Amino acid sequence: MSPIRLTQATALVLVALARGHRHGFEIMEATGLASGTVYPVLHRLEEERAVTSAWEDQDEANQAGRPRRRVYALTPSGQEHAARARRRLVGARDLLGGLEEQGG
Amino acid sequence: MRTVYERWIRWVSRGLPPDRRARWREEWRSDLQALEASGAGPGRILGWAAGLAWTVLMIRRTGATTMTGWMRDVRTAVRGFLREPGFTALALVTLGLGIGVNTAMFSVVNGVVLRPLPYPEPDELVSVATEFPTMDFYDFWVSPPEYFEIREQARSFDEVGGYRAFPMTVGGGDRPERVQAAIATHTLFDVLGVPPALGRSWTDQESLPDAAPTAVLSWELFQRSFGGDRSLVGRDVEVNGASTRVLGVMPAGFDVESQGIELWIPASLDPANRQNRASHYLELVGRLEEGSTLAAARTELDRLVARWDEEAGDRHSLSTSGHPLVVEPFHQEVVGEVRTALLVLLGAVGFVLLIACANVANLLLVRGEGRAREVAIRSALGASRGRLLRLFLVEGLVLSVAGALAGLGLGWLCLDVLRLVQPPDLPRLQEVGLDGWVLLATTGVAAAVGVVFGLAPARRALDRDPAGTLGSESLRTTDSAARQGLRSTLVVAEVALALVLSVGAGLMLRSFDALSGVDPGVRTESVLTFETYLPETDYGTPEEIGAFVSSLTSELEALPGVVSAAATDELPTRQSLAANDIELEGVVRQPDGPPHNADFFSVVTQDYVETLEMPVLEGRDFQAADDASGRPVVLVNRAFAQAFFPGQSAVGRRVRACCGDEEPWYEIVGVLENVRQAGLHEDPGTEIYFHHLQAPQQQWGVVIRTRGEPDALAASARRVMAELDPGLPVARLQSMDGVVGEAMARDRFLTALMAGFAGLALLLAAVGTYGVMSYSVSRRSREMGIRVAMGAPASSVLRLVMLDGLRVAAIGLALGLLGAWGLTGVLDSILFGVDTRDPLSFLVGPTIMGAVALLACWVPARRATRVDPVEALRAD
Repeated sequence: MSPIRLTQATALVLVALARGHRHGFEIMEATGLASGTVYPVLHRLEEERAVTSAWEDQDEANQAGRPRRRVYALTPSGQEHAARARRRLVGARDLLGGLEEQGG
Repeated sequence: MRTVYERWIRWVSRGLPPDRRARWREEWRSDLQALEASGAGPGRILGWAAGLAWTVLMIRRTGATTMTGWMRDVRTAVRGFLREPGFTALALVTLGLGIGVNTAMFSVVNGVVLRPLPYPEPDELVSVATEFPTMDFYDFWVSPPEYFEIREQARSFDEVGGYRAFPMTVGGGDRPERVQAAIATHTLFDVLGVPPALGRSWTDQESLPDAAPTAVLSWELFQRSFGGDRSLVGRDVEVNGASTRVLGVMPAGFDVESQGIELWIPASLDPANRQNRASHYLELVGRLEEGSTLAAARTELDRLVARWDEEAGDRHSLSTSGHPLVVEPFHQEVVGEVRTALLVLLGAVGFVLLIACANVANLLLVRGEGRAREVAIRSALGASRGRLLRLFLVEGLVLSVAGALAGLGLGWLCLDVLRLVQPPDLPRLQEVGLDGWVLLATTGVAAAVGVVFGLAPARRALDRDPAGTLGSESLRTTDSAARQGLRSTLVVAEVALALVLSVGAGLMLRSFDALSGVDPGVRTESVLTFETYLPETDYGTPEEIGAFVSSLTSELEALPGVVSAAATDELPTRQSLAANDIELEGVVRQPDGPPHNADFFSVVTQDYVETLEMPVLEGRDFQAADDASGRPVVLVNRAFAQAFFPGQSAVGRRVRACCGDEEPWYEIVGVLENVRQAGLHEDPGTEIYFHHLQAPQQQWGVVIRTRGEPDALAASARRVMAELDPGLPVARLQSMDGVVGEAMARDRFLTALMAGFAGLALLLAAVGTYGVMSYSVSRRSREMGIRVAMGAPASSVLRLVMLDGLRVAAIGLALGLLGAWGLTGVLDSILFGVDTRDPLSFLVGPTIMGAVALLACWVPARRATRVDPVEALRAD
């Protein structure tokens, strides 16, 4: 597995993809991250071959009456990264839970 | 709206590598639709669109699509600032004001003082003036024979030219225009190195006294009055009523000494006739020979003057001690008078900037204190000192660049306002613009400020031991002496600088007050004035002039609302020194007495003295019998009587213009109070008043005393002139108050600027003091709580805090006073009628500053007394 830099934002994007969010706009909605964060992360993940992307079928788009969308999907290595990201986020959640109990 | 965003997508995606452009463009269009379909508000869409620009930046960084350290620090810094809008706004406003006024002021100084004159090789240009030290005439004019001699014999000069500006009437028919014009030698344009843009200038032959009249127009006059018609060159126009051939047109913007000269005519000098040695009226400009220097020119002229002195020995000949030549760089001649004032103002805005910097540094220090914990966490997590240092540096730079941008905008605004105000006789202001130099200077200041700001809090934050900070910081009750000390030092500096400015502004206000209090010598209220010129072609004889002037004054007096009307050759405060030699009957000039010379000759109509309500101190006013056929009589002013007839009566004595027996003797019949003919700054000189029928001349300033608002009669005055002779110009139609106001305009402008800067400095210093005191109180709230809990009364807490703040302010005041004492000397040449150590200014400045400091300490101190001990002790 290639050593990709797993920033907080990267982790969130990977987990969102693993959860089945497949378009740039959807990932922003799901993670609450800004466009200026999500697009560069997607670009980087694609460069690092953790993610692939392709255009959706034109007919499908026509049927729904909207422009065709770019569809992102995790590669096998991307899935491993996503799993790692998930573990980290869960750990962070536990840490935050502990902090909240102590009263900040 | 959607098309705007689509256009934005198109535009911003151009920054992407070509092979990726189409793909992202389509994806973003699709996402934009999805976003809109989801019902996102305009704010969200705007945020999304803004993120695209960032995305482009990130993707462009080929290979490395993560932010590198610097970029990330910039982003972190911006985010940090946005999280604290109050702090950020205050810092930006402070910095913007400081940099803004500096930008504007530097632009003015750069445009007016520093920038070379708009002629080729301007450093070669020098001005040549004369002096008469015994008569206190410095920077005096040059006589035509002197011009010829310098031109012929001085080898240091490539060429020498002379000129003199005064108003003339252009155009005839019913639309004459009074414009600023100048006579010039045929060499002037060569000296300045600027040939006419159209046509040519006159030759030496065309410059002889009996040559046919010719003229060269300014580009502005050519466009305004002649519609830029190129066929005008070679045709005739009317100048002062005489048909005059237009030889050429100067290029746009061409002028000499910012006098707004719009018409150039030959000086009518004949090298073969060098009689008029006593008549000094030319301003001389020389161009140094290539390879020659100012020093060499001075040495050569000194040598020539010594030789001429030996040869002639006349009082008006050039001589080393009695009538020397002075050579200065032409640049200095042009900007000399305002140079000091502008540099003082530049210094003042420099102080404002320093105060602003101290304020922002203080704000950053306080903010840095609050971030001790953040720094500790960052370094505990492994951030190196270098990384942390860089973050602080970037924060400082981001803040100062933003401040510089704000300041640049503000500077632009200030300059616009300045040009709108158009302070008169501030030379070259129309040339002023925000140029590259200004941009460089502002950016330099901003960057320096950024580095200083950035590193001061960083060093402080890094000095700490992270474990200690995380552990026990919150339990400390007060700040360490060192930290308190740095902030206090900044406040001391702010108070001191603001005080220096306040004293300076106080002095300038006092000076302006003194100037406003100067009695011009005439009663200016309810007087309307205008200027006109009677061309010799139509008004050639004393009878014609006399007939016109008396019908003009009687027509004006017939207007409803007019009390009386009269005229003089030149209005008070607008005259320039005439310095005419005179003979006094039966008075022998004493070696140590004043030279027999009158500073001003005025020509007035019979009712002039009465119309301007000038007091007659002795003898009588002019009477109807004092006409062309009457006995020649004159009035003199008090200064004249005192200078030449000390301790005795001037009335009954006789005087005549110098020299020769064909000049008639005039009997002095009255003594008038002094009038400030050359402006309010100048001491009233010696003056002789002639009756216009006994000394007719062409140029007139008309004065009309009215019952109501003088301006209300402007249209009627114009109509009277048009009915009498539509070919005569009506120029500078304004109230006498306005005429005198013009004489103070520059002082008013400079004083207003200085007062504005001082006010700004006071405000910033108050904000700074308040901020530091306020912070210090909040840091000490635990201590205050303990004191209150131990039973300390509110008054003792108040005293404690106040004393603390006032000690700092007092040090600032003391240093400021010392600074002002040392620095106000630079104002010496600008101030009028007030000493640079004026006690009132030195008393009022510190009082105001002290009061401001008191208030800035009192508000936080009051708050300290209200500390709830329970809350204070419990709080983290």
